[in-house]
Amino acid sequence: MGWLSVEFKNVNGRFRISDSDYIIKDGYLHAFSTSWPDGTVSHFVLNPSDQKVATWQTNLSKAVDALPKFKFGVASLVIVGGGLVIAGPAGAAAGATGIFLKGMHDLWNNWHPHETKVQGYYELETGDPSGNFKSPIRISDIRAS
Amino acid sequence: MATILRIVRNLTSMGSFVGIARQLQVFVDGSLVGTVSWNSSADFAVHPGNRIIYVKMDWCSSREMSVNFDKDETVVLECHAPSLSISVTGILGRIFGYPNDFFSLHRKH
Repeated sequence: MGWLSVEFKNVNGRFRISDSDYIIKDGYLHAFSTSWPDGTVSHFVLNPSDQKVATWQTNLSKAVDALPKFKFGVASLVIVGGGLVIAGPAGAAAGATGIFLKGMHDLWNNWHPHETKVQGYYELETGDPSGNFKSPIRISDIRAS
Repeated sequence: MATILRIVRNLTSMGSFVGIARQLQVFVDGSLVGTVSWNSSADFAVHPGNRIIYVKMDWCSSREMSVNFDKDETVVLECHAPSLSISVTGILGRIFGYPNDFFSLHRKH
């Protein structure tokens, strides 16, 4: 997997973001994070349908990172445990198989991002709370490679 | 009077909540003699003497239990699934790692 290049139009330079700092969800660029020279970290969650940045959060990396793992763990327990309670060992095995297939599907999508879907302009919907940049910030040339 | 094996699948522990929509198969001397629904019991006529009993659901079963039946005796066996730790690995570990020791039978006196 390559890297993600994001250009902020009113900020000089382009930002190369490593593999671990962006999320491809259902073939779309879903979110990415970047570090600023002052050490703060910003997280962007994108909405490809209207091409707006839905949220702008800073210094929430731990919470953002932990939430999907927690949700995955709870969901796995509910699916496997629920299958065991209702349908016995076969139900638990079916639930585990479903989780495995979902994981493989997600891995496949991450390895094969749909480049055409993630390109385009994204407009910052909310203001930058830090005041470093004037809203709106246009983010262009977003592509996964 | 007859010699009876009674398998009880009552709500006595967290492990009782396994396969509530499924029948538990009962085997005597390697032969399937019937099934028990969740939260119920069932009686099976057996011949007096020493019998090998186990229960099974899918590929998971209990250990074989040797039971001596006297004439006209009713032997009651309670069936439990293990009290699984609340983790996916705990559940799957028992199902796939120890399938022949998944259920347990306890004689009730």
